[in-house]
Amino acid sequence: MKILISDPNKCNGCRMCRTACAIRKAGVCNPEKSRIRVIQMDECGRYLPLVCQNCEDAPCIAACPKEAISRMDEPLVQTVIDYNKCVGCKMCLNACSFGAIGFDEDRGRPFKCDLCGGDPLCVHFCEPGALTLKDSAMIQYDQTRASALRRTAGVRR
Amino acid sequence: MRYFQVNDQCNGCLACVQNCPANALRAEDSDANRVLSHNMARCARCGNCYRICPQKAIEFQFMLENGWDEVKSLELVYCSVCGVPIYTVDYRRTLSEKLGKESEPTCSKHRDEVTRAAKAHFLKRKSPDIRPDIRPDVRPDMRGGAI
Repeated sequence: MKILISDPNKCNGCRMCRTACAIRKAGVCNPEKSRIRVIQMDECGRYLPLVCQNCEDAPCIAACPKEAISRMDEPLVQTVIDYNKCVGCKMCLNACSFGAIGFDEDRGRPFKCDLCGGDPLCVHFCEPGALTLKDSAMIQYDQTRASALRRTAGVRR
Repeated sequence: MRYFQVNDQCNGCLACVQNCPANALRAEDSDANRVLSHNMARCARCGNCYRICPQKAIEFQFMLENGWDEVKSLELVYCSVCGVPIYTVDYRRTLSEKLGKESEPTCSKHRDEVTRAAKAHFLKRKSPDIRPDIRPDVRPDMRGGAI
């Protein structure tokens, strides 16, 4: 399973990933149509690029009333939207806790990162190297999860 | 439905029923009353009934005017950060039923559950993975700011 890792320590907030993504995926130079979003955290002066995390227990799959979103194993492990079933109700947009799903008003359907089929363009365009595509086997999930829980313990939900 | 209306002038002559080419009008004599019915799905909006009615009892103008009928009015929920309308109260209830939890109403731009955690992580500045040597460039408009 491939995962797009973003490093806020390296990101300088240039939004080149957004432009590249919009041009490749939507064909227009409009960052609003890009699959990646960059969260600006003014308090600590960092930027956090964020794409669909392909959650194990995905809220978008649970929320979709038409069962149009499903989890796919081949060729990449990821969550995919079946546009033949999608009716454009935006349930998935509001269910996603990352805000990683966007909505194309022109075509009336949602979109999300599909990792460009395994070779994301944003990774190539990231000048400071904040975005990397890693194999999930390289990540120690139990440690990551424990440290995330430790850090978010005091955070208001 | 306000589209097809018959006013008090009607005397039940049934000229309209006989002249409707689409069989959209029906009259039934039951007990003490003659009941005139109109079928919207069959109606071709030809206006024959209106033209033929000797009493000028059929109000056909509603069939032709370009108006909107309000069919539903629902209370809105606004983004708690920027205040744009995002969905309705009923939509939110459906969503929370499906997800099994209540979430704060935010538009996708201000979906900040992750951001809050990340900010807290960076503001504490205790973690070993804070790397001062590769700090991102500070943008000119943020210099002297909150950093």
